[in-house]
Amino acid sequence: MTEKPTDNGLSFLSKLDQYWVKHKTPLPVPLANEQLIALSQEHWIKYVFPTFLYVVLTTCSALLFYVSAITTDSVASVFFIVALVLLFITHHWFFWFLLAETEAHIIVTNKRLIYIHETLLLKEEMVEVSFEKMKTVEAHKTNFLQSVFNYGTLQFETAAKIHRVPHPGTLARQIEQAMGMI
Amino acid sequence: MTFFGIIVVIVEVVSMVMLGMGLLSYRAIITSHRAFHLSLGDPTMRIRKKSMGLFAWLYMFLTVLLVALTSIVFFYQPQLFLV
Repeated sequence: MTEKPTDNGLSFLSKLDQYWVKHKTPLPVPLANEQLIALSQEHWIKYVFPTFLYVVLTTCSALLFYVSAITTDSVASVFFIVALVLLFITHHWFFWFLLAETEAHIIVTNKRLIYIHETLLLKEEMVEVSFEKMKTVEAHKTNFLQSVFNYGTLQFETAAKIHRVPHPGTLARQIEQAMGMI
Repeated sequence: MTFFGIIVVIVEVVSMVMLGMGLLSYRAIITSHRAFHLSLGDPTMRIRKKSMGLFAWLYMFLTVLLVALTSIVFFYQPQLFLV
């Protein structure tokens, strides 16, 4: 009886993870004695417009499906395919957006602030602000909507900005406390 | 199979491929994030745990449902169902 060749204990998904990790920008390495102080997601307002657009485009494709049903022959097929393509483009765009956005978050440690925002396959954005040199942070709410829903922008001395931060004043205080620890 | 039938099949297949790529890429993101959180001493990942799996399952379920429904409707004549 012959033994199956081993794959060094790695499953297909583990190998795939390794492939992704190689081709992505690496996350920052934790520093010595670094401790987590606060973790926050972006404000839910970022979901409003894409959800509205998703509903509108899905309704448009439903209407095109209906038109394809009441017309005949090849014209019906053309309408059906246009509706199908519109439906799937909208569907995949929305869920790729949703999956990526749930993973965008702001991490405050006793050494630095890290903002990570990745889009599936397409782009990665990371802002890292070290508290060793940075000693001030400003919280801004610039319009009526931001005041009502309590979100805003955090601005640092390096001009780095993080938008759509929920309760920016509270987070700014936590950051200032962390800056004081350095 | 007609010309339009072939286009519909291609769109459905591309859609399933996009589902697979999206879920795998999402898995890669949460794996790397989890490792980073663990290294910071946050094994629970706090608030993010709630929504993590829900959208992925919803995405998978809805994509399969839409692919199945649109295939059935196209290949068994839409007029019979919708009018």
